[in-house]
Amino acid sequence: MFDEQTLCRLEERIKTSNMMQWLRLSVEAGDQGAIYHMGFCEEHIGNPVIRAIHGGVISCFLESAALLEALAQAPQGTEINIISTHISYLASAKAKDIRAHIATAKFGRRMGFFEASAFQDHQQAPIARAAIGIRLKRPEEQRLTP
Amino acid sequence: MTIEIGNGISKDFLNTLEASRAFLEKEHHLIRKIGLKTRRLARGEVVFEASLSEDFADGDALHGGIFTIILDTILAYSVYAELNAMTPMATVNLKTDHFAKAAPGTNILCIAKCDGVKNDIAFCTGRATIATSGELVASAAGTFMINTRPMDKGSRL
Repeated sequence: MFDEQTLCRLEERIKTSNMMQWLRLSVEAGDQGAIYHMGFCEEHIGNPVIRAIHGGVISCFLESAALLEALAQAPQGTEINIISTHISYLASAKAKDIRAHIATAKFGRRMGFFEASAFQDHQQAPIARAAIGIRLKRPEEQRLTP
Repeated sequence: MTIEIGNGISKDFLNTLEASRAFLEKEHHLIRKIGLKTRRLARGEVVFEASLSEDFADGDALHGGIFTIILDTILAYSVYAELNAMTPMATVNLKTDHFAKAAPGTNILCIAKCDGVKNDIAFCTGRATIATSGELVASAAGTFMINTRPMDKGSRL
């Protein structure tokens, strides 16, 4: 579970990212790890006929949440870059807020592997699941390879 | 700039696309914000260009997720161009690889190709490159279900 200091660090990171602010991303501590939250806005709509949230926006939200999860676990000063995302869309996302939980499959020295699950009504009814790979460049590696 | 029209695009479909484009540019908040401009339309192939604003930045560079949004959008367009029809469709899955960073304001060329349609599933690939240098920024592969039903019980698949 994230402590208060980690949550503050993530909130500070969100403030530096225009994209995360456009996603209206926030994070809160939950009983089984952090819960990431995307606040709905009209610009997130992909299909105006059925008023479903754009799949790419959901993927972007999960990538951002995984990036924050990596930031929370990595030593200070680690460079964090998303390498690849493989998302499956299980149901249409209605025009309302989305929440996500990020599970860490492996947090290695140079790579982190995360499994993201997005949901709206209940955590047991996910609307999308994603496998996200993140490159971690720790301070000691940054010194070796500029 | 004029739009290059390749082989295999019917006049009826072009008219439908034009109506759709006019609607999207006026009424669709997301598409309007991204500012995608059509550069080429051919059977199963589309090319768009965009200069992405700082609103999509993550620090000094563009957030990789904006390329996921664009590639998801244009991969679907390549299916419309393959079918010559704007049929209801839903993304089943999408894999995006991020190669390089791009600065806000950089002209990005986005290319998508529908590699094939089998029964009601379309298979597509796409790339986003820096327009001036050709450097690859992101690539994607996606599958789409065609002729989805309207959203009633949450799932269209």
